[in-house]
Amino acid sequence: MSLAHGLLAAEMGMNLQMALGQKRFLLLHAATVERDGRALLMTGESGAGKSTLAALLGERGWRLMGDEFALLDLEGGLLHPFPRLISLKNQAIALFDHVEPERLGPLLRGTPKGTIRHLRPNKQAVEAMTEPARPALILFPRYGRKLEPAVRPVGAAEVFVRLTQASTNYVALGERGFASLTGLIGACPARAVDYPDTDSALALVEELWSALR
Amino acid sequence: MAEAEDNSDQSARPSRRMVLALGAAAASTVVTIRPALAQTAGSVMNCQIPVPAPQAAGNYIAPDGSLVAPGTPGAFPPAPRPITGEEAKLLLSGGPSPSGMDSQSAQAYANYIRRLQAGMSGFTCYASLQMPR
Amino acid sequence: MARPRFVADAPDAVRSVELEGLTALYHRPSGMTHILAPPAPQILDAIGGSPADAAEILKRIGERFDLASGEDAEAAIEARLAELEAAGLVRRL
Repeated sequence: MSLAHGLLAAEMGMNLQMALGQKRFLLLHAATVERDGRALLMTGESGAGKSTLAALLGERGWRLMGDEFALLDLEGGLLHPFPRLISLKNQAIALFDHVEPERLGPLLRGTPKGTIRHLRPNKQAVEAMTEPARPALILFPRYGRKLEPAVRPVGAAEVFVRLTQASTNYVALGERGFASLTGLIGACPARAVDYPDTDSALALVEELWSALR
Repeated sequence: MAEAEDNSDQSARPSRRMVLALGAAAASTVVTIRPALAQTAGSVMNCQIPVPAPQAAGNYIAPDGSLVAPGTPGAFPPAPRPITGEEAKLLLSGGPSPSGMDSQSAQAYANYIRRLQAGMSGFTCYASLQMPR
Repeated sequence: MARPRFVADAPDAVRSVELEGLTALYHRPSGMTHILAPPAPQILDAIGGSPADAAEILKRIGERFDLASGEDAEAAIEARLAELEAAGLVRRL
């Protein structure tokens, strides 16, 4: 990848360290995308396809805020972006054949995680990398070839516990972390989504998003 | 919630508004949030718990795990080396004492570990052993 | 033989948020977060500022709630107190 991107990554890394050190953000393992100033947070076990879904949404009119980390501002409750290179793996790689070639890294075969190709977030995502968004919906996606597409509500307490487990600094933040996380849950509906393929997933996301008031 | 009016009650007691189940003896009604597991399983098992924490160096460990002055009768000296996450997990579930430690002092150390609070050295290691995954 | 009496921290030592019937509770003295299901939060309220043993707690709770019948109520309260004690939310005197 280009030197320019390497520098961007280094700068973002340093900013992240500073932001976490200042105890300004609750760090969540979640993929986030934004539309109209509101953010969709996708979280859950790795391998559920959150990064890929977020990257796909980023090519379909949503702004990619981040594929792995979300930063929840403890003061105002807004989510801040962290758009890094996305690591596409194996079958997901083919889904992005159509993007501008300069955004794609070389195909790397035989890595411990299989075949990998890096995808740079698009111009919109990079230009908006300092723009936060208000969280509006939390999804727990689950991928399975044989799953029927399905949507289930998730109880607020369960969402709370899962998000503490999706955070690397919840305990260290003490009461401010507690207030921030309970605030997030109070503000956002949460759903578990089962999907057998990306088209179903994208359709479910659009449906759930339009159902928001 | 169920409304339960007691029309036959002659006293001024207000009608009770809600039913509360007290739960079976074995029920679990309190879940404590522990820090998320470390990023890799390997690192959790290798993490370490000094007994006692450096902030309490020099104290002895009573059989119930509390810190006491050195030489207190019945109390045990500090563990000769930190206890690893792997060892703590075994010890706390009734398994063997860490090597180099006799079973009585190991039980005292186990009780000390159970009392660890946020901010104390080794807490994150202990806590990360607890949360289900 | 006297039964153990339990005491809870002052109300401003905890911060709680209701999450659809369960209670998320931040305990300031320890920095720990707990999720409580009924009747645990009601027991903490019943202890309030005045130490009580299981029988007294049962009586205080019974003044505010209809207790579901068919249980060994005191044993249930004792089991809940053991959980709360393990979590550091109550202490015995």
